Amino acid sequence: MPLATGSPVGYQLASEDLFLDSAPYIYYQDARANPLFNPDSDGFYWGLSGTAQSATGTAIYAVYELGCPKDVTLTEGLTMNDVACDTVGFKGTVQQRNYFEFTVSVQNFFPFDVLSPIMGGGTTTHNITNHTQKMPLGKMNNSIFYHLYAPMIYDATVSDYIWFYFHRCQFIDAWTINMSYGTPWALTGVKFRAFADSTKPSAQLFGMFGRADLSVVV
Amino acid sequence: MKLQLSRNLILTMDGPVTNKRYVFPGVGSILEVDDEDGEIMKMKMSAQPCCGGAEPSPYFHVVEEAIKKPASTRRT
Repeated sequence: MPLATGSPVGYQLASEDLFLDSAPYIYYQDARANPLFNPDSDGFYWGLSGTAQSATGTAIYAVYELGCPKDVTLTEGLTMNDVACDTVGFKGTVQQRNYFEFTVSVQNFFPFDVLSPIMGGGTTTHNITNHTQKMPLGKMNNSIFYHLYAPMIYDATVSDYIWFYFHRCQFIDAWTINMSYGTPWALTGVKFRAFADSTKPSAQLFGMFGRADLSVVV
Repeated sequence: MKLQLSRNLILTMDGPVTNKRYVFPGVGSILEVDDEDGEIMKMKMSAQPCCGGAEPSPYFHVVEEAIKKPASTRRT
């Protein structure tokens, strides 16, 4: 739309009148599994496959879905250093991307094998005879990484959606469980930090942001 | 029949028919189970998920199906 005070000259591209208004679903899977698209026809590496197997063909890496996430945010960590020039002042800023970070609160605590990676627990034991689930709480394992896939449908009628995908995430930082009377327990302060995956192309070192829209992307 | 555990846990259960004890030591582990137990175990699904798109999923993948026993023949 032309501005009353004068339009910019030349080719213009305006934003679409479309807003995203809810949190994405959050899925994760052991990063040793290959992504579902490895790569896809556009050269992008993304997606989770619950049937993925290890090189030996034995281990199966399930895809886990976080139930009922709340207060989801996504941010990034950068190192920024200004290029200071004593003659004219700042000439620019050198930026290096260190990581992306999802923060989320979780309200579903079961089953434990979905929750355990988030809480830094060990391998859970599931005894069907005794009807018990047990999660060991011990030392942190810093060598396990996960793919993170966060899709969000913004038009359910025609299934238009966006998704974030990160190759190599760790659950980091201290969590807190809020146990308030009359409100559901919430595991807060959960953070997935997505690091660079050096096996991926430099443009997709951390992951990708995608969109599928049948009516607009034509 | 051979079943493979598809969840990242240590699973202990008694066979629903034979009452044999089966211990799957972790995700991807494969055990040979009694065919009668296996027919029931392979149907075992995770609980109904809360609020997402995931469907209840089986605990096990069948690696090797039960060998069908031939019907007994009667001599006359």
